[in-house]
Amino acid sequence: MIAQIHIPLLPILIAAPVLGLLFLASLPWVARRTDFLSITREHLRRFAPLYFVVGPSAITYFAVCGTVSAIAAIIFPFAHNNMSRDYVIQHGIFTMFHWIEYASSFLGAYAFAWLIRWVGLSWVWTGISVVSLSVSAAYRTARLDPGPNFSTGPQILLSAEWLDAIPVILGLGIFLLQRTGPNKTVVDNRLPAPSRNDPLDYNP
Amino acid sequence: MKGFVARFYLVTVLAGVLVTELAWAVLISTGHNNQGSSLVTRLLFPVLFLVGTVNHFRSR
Repeated sequence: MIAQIHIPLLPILIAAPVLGLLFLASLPWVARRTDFLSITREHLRRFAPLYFVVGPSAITYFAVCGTVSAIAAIIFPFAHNNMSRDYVIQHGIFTMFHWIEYASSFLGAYAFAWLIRWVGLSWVWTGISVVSLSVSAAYRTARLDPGPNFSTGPQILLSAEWLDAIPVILGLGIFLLQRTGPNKTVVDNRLPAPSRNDPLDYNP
Repeated sequence: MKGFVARFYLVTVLAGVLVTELAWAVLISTGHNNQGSSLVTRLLFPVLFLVGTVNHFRSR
């Protein structure tokens, strides 16, 4: 006889987003008050293959693009009345999914190029993350099954759509242009800190 | 205490990242919705992981 386990779903569905938001909201405090950033940087540098091969495309297309698309798919039908819902599903929601994917690709390429520079890894890791993002963007697309059992989600294609990789190249290109532009000379205008023991620094 | 808080946050964030990576790697290498998968998506992450690991240990 199989024992039936009843899991209270409602408290979990309420508690999980609340705990997640509290966690995210407290991150800036933790970053300021503890050595969270330095140990994170050291950890990422030491275990780079674990985080910069699958990580860029997983975070960009699963965590960011997937979450934003899911929230948009939930909100989108509420913004339209029932009469226009079929039209919206046929024409509007796919366009929205594609633009969310393009925006995620651009931001993901830029953010991971910045992260790799921040951690202090070589340009090889930037290349690996761009290949990971580009191929994932080319083979990933949105899936939509309108009907009585409405369902949506990511879909992996059998052949690539390489045009979807353009936002990735743009994100990396803009990051590199910002870093290697002609006006990157940094002038430090700050005065040196006054020494407590130097009487010449006394200036009432 | 602050060291414990920092490590707790690090472990939590990185555990979330690793679970997301695992789910994405399985999805892209096996395909979805019975469409199957292509050779490129099956070999993408193993090849990149090999290149990255070799480069990582050569540069250390």
